[in-house]
Amino acid sequence: MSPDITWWQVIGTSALASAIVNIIANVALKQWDHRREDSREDEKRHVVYLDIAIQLEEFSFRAEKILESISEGIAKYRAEHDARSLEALEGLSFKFDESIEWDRVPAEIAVRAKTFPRTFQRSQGFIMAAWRYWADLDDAWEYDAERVAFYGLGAIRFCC
Amino acid sequence: MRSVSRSTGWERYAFAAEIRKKVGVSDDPQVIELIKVFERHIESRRAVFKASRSEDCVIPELRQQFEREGLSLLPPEDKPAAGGIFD
Repeated sequence: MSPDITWWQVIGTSALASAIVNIIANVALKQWDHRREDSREDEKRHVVYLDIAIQLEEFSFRAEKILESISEGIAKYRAEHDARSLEALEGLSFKFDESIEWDRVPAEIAVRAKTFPRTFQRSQGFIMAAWRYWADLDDAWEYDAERVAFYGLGAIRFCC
Repeated sequence: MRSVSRSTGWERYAFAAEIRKKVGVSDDPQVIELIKVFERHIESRRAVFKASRSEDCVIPELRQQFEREGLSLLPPEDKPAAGGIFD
């Protein structure tokens, strides 16, 4: 060791080097942790996306079945003038499962998805008014078929 | 909710991509058929709207969609006269 370098300098330099190494290691560790956390969050978010998609898809398949029954009911009513073919039809409703963890998906998507059943529900207002004031029974169901097709398609397109 | 601020195009893309994967839109014949059923029904109602162009011939959502597509209601003077017995 050169006489110009004291023990204090050696200790100081190695302490500095060790501190720098520590800082770099800490930063790298934190970044790795963040990345791991991010990918875990992504995974959880995608599970929620899938939950939403599955429920919308199920709604669309139910909508298709109901559209078919309404069309058959209308045709039968127009051919036989028997209101029972329409009175027996079931309506379509939709509600997301309460188990969906909405706070895991971006607000934009949560708002879009959560608005969907409400808009669908509200759209019944026009049909009820039509039925009450001017539409015949079959015309009211024709409106309902349009509604089922429009929102059924909307639900499946929401997914794709 | 960390991702809200990043809720940009890629989020929507990720959503769509995940959903596509789930429902297999491109190759699931059931989903393709489902879409076709709805589209056929809406197409038939488009024809009704095109022929009648009256405000209440379809539900408001469809009327708005058709209007966005360029089909609009006829101005009142062009509407066919209502030929009722009281006219």
